[in-house]
Amino acid sequence: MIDGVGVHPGGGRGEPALRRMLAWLGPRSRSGDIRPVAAWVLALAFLFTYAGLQPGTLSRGQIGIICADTLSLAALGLGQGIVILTAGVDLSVGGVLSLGTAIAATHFSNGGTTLEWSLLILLIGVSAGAINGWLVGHLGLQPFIVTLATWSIFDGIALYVLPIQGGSVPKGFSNWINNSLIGIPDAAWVLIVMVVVWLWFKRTRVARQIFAVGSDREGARIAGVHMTRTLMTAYMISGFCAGLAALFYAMLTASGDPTAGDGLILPSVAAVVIGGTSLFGGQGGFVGTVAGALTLTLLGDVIFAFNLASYWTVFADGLLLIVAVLIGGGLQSLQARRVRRHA
Amino acid sequence: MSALRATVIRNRPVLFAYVLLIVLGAVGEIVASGFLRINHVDELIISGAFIALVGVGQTFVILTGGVDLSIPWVLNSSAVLLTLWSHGSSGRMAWLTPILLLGGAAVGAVNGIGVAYLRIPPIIMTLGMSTIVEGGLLLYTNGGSGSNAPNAAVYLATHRWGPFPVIASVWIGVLVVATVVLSATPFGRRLYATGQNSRVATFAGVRVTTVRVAVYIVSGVAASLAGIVLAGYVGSSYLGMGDPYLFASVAAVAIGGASILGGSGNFVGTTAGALSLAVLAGLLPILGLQPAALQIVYGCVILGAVTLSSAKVGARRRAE
Amino acid sequence: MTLGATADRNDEILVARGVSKAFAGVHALENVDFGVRAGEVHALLGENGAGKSTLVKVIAGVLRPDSGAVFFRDEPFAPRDPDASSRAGVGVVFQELPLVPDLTVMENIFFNREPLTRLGTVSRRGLRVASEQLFDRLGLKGIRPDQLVRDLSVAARQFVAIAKVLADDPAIVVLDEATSALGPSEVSWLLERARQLADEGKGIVFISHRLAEVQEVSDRITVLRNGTSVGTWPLAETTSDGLVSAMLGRKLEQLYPPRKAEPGPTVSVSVRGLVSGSRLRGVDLDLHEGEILGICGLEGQGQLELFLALYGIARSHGTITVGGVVRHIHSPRDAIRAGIGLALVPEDRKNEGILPSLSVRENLSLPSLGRLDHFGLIRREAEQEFVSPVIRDLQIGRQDPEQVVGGLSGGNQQKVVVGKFLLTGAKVLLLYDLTRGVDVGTKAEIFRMIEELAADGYSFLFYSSDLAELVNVPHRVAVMFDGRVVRQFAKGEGTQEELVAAMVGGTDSASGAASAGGTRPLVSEVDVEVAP
Repeated sequence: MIDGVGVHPGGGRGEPALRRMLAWLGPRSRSGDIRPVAAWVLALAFLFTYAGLQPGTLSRGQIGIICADTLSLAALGLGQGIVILTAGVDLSVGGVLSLGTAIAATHFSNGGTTLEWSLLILLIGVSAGAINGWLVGHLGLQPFIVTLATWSIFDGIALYVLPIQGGSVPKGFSNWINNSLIGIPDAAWVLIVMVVVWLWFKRTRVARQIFAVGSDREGARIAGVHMTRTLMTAYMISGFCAGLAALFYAMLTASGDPTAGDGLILPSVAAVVIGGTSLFGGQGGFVGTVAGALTLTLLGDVIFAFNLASYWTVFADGLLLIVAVLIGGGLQSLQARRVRRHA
Repeated sequence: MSALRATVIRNRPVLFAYVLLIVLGAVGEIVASGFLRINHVDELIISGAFIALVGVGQTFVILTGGVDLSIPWVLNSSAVLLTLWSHGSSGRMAWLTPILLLGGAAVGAVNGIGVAYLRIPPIIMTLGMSTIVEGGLLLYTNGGSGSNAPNAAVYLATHRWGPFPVIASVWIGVLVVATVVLSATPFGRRLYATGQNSRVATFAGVRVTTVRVAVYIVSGVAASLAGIVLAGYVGSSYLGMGDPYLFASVAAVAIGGASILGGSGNFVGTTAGALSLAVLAGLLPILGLQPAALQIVYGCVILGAVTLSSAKVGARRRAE
Repeated sequence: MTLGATADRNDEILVARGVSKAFAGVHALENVDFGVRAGEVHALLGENGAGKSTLVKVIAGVLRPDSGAVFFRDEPFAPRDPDASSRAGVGVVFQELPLVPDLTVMENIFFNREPLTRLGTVSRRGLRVASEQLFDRLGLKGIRPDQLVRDLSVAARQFVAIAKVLADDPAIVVLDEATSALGPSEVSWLLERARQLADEGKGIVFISHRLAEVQEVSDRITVLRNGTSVGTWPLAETTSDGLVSAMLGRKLEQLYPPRKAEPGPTVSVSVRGLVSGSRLRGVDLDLHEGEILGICGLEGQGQLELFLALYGIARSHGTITVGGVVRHIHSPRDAIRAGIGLALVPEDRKNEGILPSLSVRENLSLPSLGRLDHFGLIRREAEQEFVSPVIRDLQIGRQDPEQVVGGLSGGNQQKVVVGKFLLTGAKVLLLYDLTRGVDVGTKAEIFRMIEELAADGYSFLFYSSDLAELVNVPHRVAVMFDGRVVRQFAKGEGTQEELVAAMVGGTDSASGAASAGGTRPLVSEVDVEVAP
């Protein structure tokens, strides 16, 4: 009787195979979002460029090193991405990371055990997230101003713990990242585990609610999303991931830096955006973010391989973020237009 | 008469900022007598002036509902390039100053175009620009920094006419100009309209994009000016000297009673905010706290100010 | 249209007793009683702003009543939010659809109730099966469960929202203006479904301001007016006349002011071949000096696009001539320079014309700031002088230029919106649904203002979602369909029935009646009442 009520935009049974394939590859892309695919193409392009410049890049050892280099950024990106899915942003990951490395460098080999202090770092991250999430969710404050403030607070605490760059972590701790298990580097394992956890997480109810909040806050509220609880979850995950990133960072550098986080905020957002997550919330996922993090890591390597000053990396990071936002927005509106034309 | 009353009512948060300033000053005097003696107040004014200079740009930007995170590195570039190119010569500074201010304006213009025309969220655009400017500076200087600051800059930043710091006159000048621009010019009116509701402003024929680009230019110029003066205060330049001013500028605006969502607030409030932060910074060593505590204070101040203002908004909304 | 068969007719399972709710001192609901029985369709009828949606929000827990209470199955009923309300057995299909665009249809329908796998993840297979079963049960075809809601049309979203509520199998279903976005065949499907659900023993609350639909489907009718309940009657005891006067009340006599003047011969705006996007496909219009030209049409036939194009917000091609001069209008600035003003009340009802925390003076002068520029400054006295005639002539608030606009009544806020364009020297004003959600008294005030300005030579393009207004306010009505003007009616020519027929595409009146449901022309009734 009401045939024709539902409009068939872009698809139905006649969906082209390519689009269906892209839809399958993309993290959340039943309408065939190509942004994460583009991110992986970009990451692989960088990988092969680097391999062309530096023979031996594709060896197991080198891949392990690349993965290790990517790890803290990928962890930051996992959390940042989840916050960005709620249409927010978490600048405080910088402060948490700084504080985490400061604690690692001063306390791991200094009384207490590595495990206990590691758990404390993760707990600090989660608490930071709880504060952010409560202020954003319950009081309805703007995410950027809240997390800007907590970034400053945690940076300050980090400077208390470790006034200047230095300190050290136990050998066993920093070596772990270079080990491998059944032939696969530990760092690669961690990346794989993070992706698997994400693939599980994004199918849970909590994740649906996070997507919903970012997609249409009012609609989500009426549909029964508990705003405070959902946003607190998102920011707490982000804080946890920042703590995790701090551990990886300390492993990699074998020391602490109370300002390390400041330089990683932009890359964390950039990794997410390059990975195809919309800054306006509701669309995206970690699969693309990993590609974004890899791209940014390899960018530094390629710059190094070209014998360019390492400062080019800083410059290129900023440029890449803005370009990625523009291209991402462009792709999205292109797609929207295609869907509308079908409608 | 009614106009005056309306002005007072609208500026209640600004008055609150001055009350806070007086309270902080009193606390200082109680904790350490002599805190408010002329010499020390001068110092507070000088350190507050740098915050006020970056704060004027941040005020303009936040009034339109944006935020400028590129201030620290614009400031830093300006300071480093001044010391690098002038070799300490005030004569060179005479022609370098307009160039540096123009550079700040250029960065601001790019920010503004990104935000207004390309519709990139302000945090992302200015964060990206900050990194680009940082990278550019590092590449140019190869990680080094300049030599001595020109005497003229030192004079501007540290000299006093009797008890009156020279830089205070700069501050007063900026205060007067910013206040007139915001409260009595068509541009100021359009700026508030843009911040309150950019669609309504567009429908009323305001070129919202132009307004947006303009405020980021103001911010770039202000940050650049602050860099020149700060180089004079320090006597030289170093990388990272701008870092504290990101939090400080936002905190000053927030204490000054401006809404972080845009559309309300003014530079008179930010002035009180900048002074309050300077007083707070002065109080810390007296209380036996490390400089790192300043960062924590900035963060808490921002959180406190936005929470208070949102509580007020919430109460008003409930009342309606 | 027989009554439901089984249920006990006197047993009201959902009851609102003495509910009052005020916003900023204005009563949206005042001591309202309302009850729904199992097995009946109970219509809630009333004008925009009568309090229908407020009552629904109180029932669903979105708003808390200031006094009074709601009872469900004799228990006090105060759900935390609509979701809790739905789980408890009172499902509401809101006007503002609670759908999340980036989730799929099935994820939306079973939001927060998703079947889970052993890993704690949402089972997509389970979702698909459940939604297919649900669609089958409802006879809903053409919507795939795994489509993103973002990609659906408004009508399809409406059906998803209904399916979402029915998925909880509630005892009470509230349909708040569910038909407003639907076409005729979809409306009749929905009405049948409502009937069927009532026959299954559910209580249906059907909210609409379309009299015909209400008469077609309901068993009982409650009429709300200005936040109070006028009364509840079984359908059989009502007449169209009676319902209309119950809805409009005594205010009706003053609602539409007497005509002051007829339009002059001069054409003030002439539009030829105006095209914009896919919605506006070639409009020709002539607007005369002192004329109020009504624009009417179903949702999405290009009315909004016409207004946006004329005001330079939507990109357009075609010729626009204002006062005999061809104008290229690419921005609101161009439009203002050409002497055009726009007052737009958008779909979400937030006012697009005022800056609430600024004063009347600052709002009024905003589009004319260039003219007040005195060596870069605005002189306060000059500005006061500039705005005061409009404040006086339109009688804005208590005529204090420093009053904050947010504190004014709705009608006064609309006067500010119109007033600021009078100050730009605009002679052509585009009014888009200016009276939506406005109470009757304010409406009368707005209409009087329009009438007076028209008599002074101002020209108006007047769109309203309320047909009765379109018949009574303008000198002439142009009907839009599919992006074009398909018919024009001179004053007195168009009955509501004819308008509706033209609106659905100029087909014969039989198909028009599908949406009008064989209504008697509301217009003539209104005219009759006004006549003495």
